[in-house]
Amino acid sequence: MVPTIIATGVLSIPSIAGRFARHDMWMTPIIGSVIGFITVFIVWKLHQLYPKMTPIQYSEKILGKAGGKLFSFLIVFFYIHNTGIVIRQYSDFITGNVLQQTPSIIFSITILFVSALAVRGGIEVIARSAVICTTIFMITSLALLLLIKDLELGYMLPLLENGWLPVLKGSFIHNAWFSEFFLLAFIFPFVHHSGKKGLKSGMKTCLYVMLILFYVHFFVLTMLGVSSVNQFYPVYSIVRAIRVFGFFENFEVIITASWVLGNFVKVSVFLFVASLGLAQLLNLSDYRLIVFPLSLLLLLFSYWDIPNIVVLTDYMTKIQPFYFVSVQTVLPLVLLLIALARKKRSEHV
Amino acid sequence: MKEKEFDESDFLCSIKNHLPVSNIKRVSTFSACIDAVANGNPVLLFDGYEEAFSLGLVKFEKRSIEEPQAETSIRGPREGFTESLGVNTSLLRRIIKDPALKMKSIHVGKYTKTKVVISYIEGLVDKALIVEIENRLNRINIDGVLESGYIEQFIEDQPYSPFPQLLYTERPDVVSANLLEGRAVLMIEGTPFSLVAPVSFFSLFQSQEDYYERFWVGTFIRALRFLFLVIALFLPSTYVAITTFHQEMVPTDLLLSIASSRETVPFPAFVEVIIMEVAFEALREAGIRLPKQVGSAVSIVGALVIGQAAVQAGIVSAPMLIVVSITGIASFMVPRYSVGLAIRLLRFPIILLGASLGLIGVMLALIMIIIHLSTLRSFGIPYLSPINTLQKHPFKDTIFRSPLWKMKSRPHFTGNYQEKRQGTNIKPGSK
Repeated sequence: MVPTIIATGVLSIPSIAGRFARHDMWMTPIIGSVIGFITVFIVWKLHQLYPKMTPIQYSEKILGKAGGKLFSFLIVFFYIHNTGIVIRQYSDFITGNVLQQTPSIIFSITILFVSALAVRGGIEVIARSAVICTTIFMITSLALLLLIKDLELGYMLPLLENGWLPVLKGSFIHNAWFSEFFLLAFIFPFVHHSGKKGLKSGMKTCLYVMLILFYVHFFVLTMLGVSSVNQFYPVYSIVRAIRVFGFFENFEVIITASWVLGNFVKVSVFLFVASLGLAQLLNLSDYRLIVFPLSLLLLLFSYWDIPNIVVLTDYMTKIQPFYFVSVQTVLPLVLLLIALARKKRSEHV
Repeated sequence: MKEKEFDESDFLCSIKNHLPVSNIKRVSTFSACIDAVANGNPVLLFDGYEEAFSLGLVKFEKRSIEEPQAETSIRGPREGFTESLGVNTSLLRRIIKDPALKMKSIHVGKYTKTKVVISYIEGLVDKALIVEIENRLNRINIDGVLESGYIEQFIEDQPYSPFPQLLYTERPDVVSANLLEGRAVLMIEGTPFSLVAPVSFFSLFQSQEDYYERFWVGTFIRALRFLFLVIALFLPSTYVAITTFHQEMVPTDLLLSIASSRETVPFPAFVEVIIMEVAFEALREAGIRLPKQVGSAVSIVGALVIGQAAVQAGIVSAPMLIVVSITGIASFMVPRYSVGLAIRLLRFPIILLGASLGLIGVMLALIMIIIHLSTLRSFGIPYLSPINTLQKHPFKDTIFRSPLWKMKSRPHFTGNYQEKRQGTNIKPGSK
């Protein structure tokens, strides 16, 4: 779960968050994570009410047939759309920075292909390979520590120059990422010990994500200062600065390569949720059948929607926080409230 | 009256008691007689009686016990299995003396009727595993079994995978160690190689000597093996990827020397590496199959041809030669030959990906391998266990080799198992 969120988050949040919060951007993930904790709690509560069911299934129980279908359609469509964006983000990043001459669609196709392979293997395969990929991904993230000697703590000053408002605005960007914890709703039904332990591990994940984002923000801010705002991928720029023994330089390709791992995990989790959701929405017996056709659709989605990176950043800044939070946190919250109310009523009767 | 007392069974019994042969079986059908004769046992027939004796006097020529050729070790027992199943089981019984060591035999092969023995330690092994192995063995319906490989290919879980899902060994100590960990071992008549099931990816990277030497040494050697696993899989492709796509990663001085040595080479790095790898594989294959006297000639010529001469002729560059030879050494680092074969095979598609998509391609290959390994199972056990199956102490006996007195529990596969394998307080010096 952790890499699912960080993978894309690491890439571009610092720049957007920084635009609002400037010197205080290191605080943003901490505040942003609140949404994450709330989402995890909602998801867990819903899971307690309807164990062994995905949101697609229990939404029908809560909202009735038509309402449930509408809700499920919203969720599934949201994930299809969203996965398209994730893929676009990833392949744009690679064509923009690493392999300029290769058309970006090649990267979209390849990442979708490997993810689809994993998704066809089932949730177990995704989880098992995610464990390994995450480990490698994390180890390479430690490379940032090599920058310690170049840090300028002075960039962090002055604290709260313009009060709390910019910080809050910046952290709102994070909300989009943290609300992705709603994915857990699709994963909980497959987990063995999903009682109190599920809640605990969900919360823990949220905490880890927060810490890692904090770690990244801290490095970006203290390396680049406020100028990080002007770059699309500030982390990429600071990794460029790593130099060890005057021999190992230009680490960025290795870091990018490990981001491929992170993105693989992210795309496969999203694809899994999208295809599982769609299969349940259409009452198909096996979601594996639609994985490959759906991947093709996702590929189209990733190019329909976004003409270029400027639009993408704009989308991430202005639309995504509201869009994501409303679908992934507010909607489930409404669902939970209705479910609780129904339960109350049935208890009365 | 006297004739009545002279009972038929009595007569046969007394004959049986008077014959100085320990292994006498009664046979009563014609086909059983033929089977006995075909197995090399003389059959004693009696005029007027419906039963005959098959005398266990079979004696085949067999090789004496020798040092295992394919798995040598510096420290450790020097005896290896032979082609004779009887010798092999007795070797095993000599190590594990407990009656809990069970052996079940099954005959496989229509014409060869090869005896396959499933051995396991009762109480340690999961019973479902034995049932599963028996079922899979009974499904085999072929003309003959000539080597353990025949059995292996019929009972593995994923026949299309390049990775071996059973471990083969010709060392009694390896077999015993696996039995003691709760695995089952198949011993096949006519081959010194036994099959161990189930295995995990990491058990294929362990050699028995890891446990015989001090644990620091064992841990270090294991770390070295994993490092060279990565090198054997990814070094040539990474080299191609970096020299073709990411030159900026190479420090300037090194880049200059690579560039200058590549100046005279007419091929792109990809073609160069494919030529060298194929030549290397061919050389290795030729060295194995030829008689020993010719083999040395091949290796000398080969070393000259794909060595200095190729560089001087400007066909390949010197750095490429180094890359290929390191990779070659690295693929020999794996203690199990079958894994080495898988690595050698996988290297080529990875090179192709690395040459077309750079390091991203190499990463995609890594992801695909990880996905594949995560899907694989060996007799129901996840291939990558215990690393990513959320077990207790996953690293104790996989990447590290912890001290023997710390390995308190047996590896857990599925189902019920006996966890404890040691007493408490056995660390040297503890009271």
